[in-house]
Amino acid sequence: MALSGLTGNVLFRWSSTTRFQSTDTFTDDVDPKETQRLKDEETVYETQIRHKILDAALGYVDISGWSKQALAEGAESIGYPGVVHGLFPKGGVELVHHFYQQANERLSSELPADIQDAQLDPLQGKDDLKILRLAIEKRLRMNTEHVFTGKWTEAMGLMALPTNAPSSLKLLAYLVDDMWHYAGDTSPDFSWYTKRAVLAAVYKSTELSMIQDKSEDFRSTWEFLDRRIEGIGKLRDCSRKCEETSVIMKGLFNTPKTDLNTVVIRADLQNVKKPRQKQVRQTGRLDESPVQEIPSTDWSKYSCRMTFALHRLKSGMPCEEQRRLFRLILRCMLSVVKP
Amino acid sequence: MFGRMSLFGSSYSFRSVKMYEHFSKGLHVSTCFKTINKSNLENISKTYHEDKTVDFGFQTIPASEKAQRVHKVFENVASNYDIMNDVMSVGIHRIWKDYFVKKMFPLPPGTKVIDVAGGTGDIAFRMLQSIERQNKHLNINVTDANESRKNSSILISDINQAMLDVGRERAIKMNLQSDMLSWLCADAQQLPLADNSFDLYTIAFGIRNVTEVSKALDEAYRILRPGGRFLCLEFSHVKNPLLKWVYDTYSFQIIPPLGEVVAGDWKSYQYLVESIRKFPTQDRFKDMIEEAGFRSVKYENLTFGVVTIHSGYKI
Repeated sequence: MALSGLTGNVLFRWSSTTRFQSTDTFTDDVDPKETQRLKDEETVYETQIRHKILDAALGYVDISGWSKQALAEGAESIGYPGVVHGLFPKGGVELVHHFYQQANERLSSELPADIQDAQLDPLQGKDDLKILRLAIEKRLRMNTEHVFTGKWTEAMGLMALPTNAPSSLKLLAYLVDDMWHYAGDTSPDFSWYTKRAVLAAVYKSTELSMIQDKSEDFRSTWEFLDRRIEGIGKLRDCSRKCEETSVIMKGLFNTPKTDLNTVVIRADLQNVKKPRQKQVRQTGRLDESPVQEIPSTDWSKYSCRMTFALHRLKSGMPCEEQRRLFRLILRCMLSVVKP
Repeated sequence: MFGRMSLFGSSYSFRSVKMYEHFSKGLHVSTCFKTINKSNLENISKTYHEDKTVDFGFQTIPASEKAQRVHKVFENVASNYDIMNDVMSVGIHRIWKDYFVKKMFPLPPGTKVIDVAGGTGDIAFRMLQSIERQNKHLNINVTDANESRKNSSILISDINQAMLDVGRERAIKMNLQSDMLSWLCADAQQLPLADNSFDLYTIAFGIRNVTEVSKALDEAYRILRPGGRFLCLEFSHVKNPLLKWVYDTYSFQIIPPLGEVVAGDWKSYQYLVESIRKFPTQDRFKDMIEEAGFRSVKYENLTFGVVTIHSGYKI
């Protein structure tokens, strides 16, 4: 049956090539759209065959490994001659990538249902780590079959080879992107990148732990995964705290705006570090003398003063004051250039 | 419409009863020798119209003459073929051929290979040795060598009996008289073989000398099984202008005199370098292979494009 199907394909193909050729002979009649359509058809047809052979070859990985041998055996099993393995010039790694790709697709099609089953809601911020854990475990479980036979180690090795690494990384990137997508991530800022990088690191390290895991049902791997997920949570808390601190700092800088005549020029960094101490706001007339006091090497102190001055400039103030401030800022800048 | 007629014409005409008789006589006997005598060659030439011309080196000659003239060239060089290859390419041709053979491995048991224009057996012997090495390797892995698995077979085909004779002698010298080898004297444009009968078609440094390249490609497509692979090793074009200058100087100034000194034959080697220049470029040849019906056609340049490997599949 398989063979008759093949010959059918070939016959069909004959007619399509002749059509292609007949447009070739009369160059005036060549329709670019038609040519493009035929080319697209060709590529679709070729990919279909490639996928058929790869699917068949996956069955031979246990015996022959991720190799051209497996590709040849797979091709033979569906009626092609073994030499057709040359369709995959990179050899075994194309088989690995095919498997990886398939598993990724399966994950993204099945994950939404699994999330619902686990009664998690991606729209609620606090659930996302749980969803990620679910997704990683689900994806890693797709490799179990090859982990048992010890072939997954080989596959990871192949993927890590410098020539194969770019396409492997691409697949990994798509995988973690899918995971974050289903975890409800919509970040439009730089954290988009950091989130994915962190998750990729977690996924890869758990995968490494899995191939060494001898415990029943990979229990220690899932424990390892739990610890890593906890780590992501901590990391996120840390960054949140940093953000809060920066907000407090901003508030601090904004305070002296309230009264212009009694402004602070002499705020050193030590005081800024302790925002709760009220004596930050020392009062005094605005004059040029404090600038001279600045040791020109201490940049941090210096930038502090500049910020204060600039803040004051923003809000409306008398002309004379403005001029003074400008002079002050200029001096500050000069002292940076010429210490 | 015209394209369709010519394509079908070329493929169906060979399916005549006569060809099948030839085939049945030729292939099932493991070692066969059939000489193409003069009258046979003339028969081939009669198939062309008289006003049709083809390139022979830089000359343009009637298509009917090309087969005979190429035949003469290779009759002249056959005895010195190997030594001249070594001298002209400084031994690099061995690397090219080794790489070419490496590209088709692993060769699963039972593969049927046809090596067209492989008279001296350069490619076939390499394949044979690699197959033996591979089988040894497999036997170590698989404890029970399955007897029911057929062995691979290699059919060496060449239009020129003189070249085949050289190959046969070499096989004896190299102690390579395997059941897997068989020999056939036939034109690459009309092989007396059945449709869909081979897994792998190789042609190394041969397709350039065929009168009509497209006919040989159609023929390759015909005899290959669905999924079969077409592999061609052939001189091609160097793109880099500087290297091209070096290569051209070497080809035109050094090779013909070398031929005169080593093999005593200037003209044949003049033809060799000229025919290389007349051969289509990598991309054009790729298109030609695709026109014959092959898919996934790719090529790979060796030594900056002095030599190119084209590969295609009948899928």
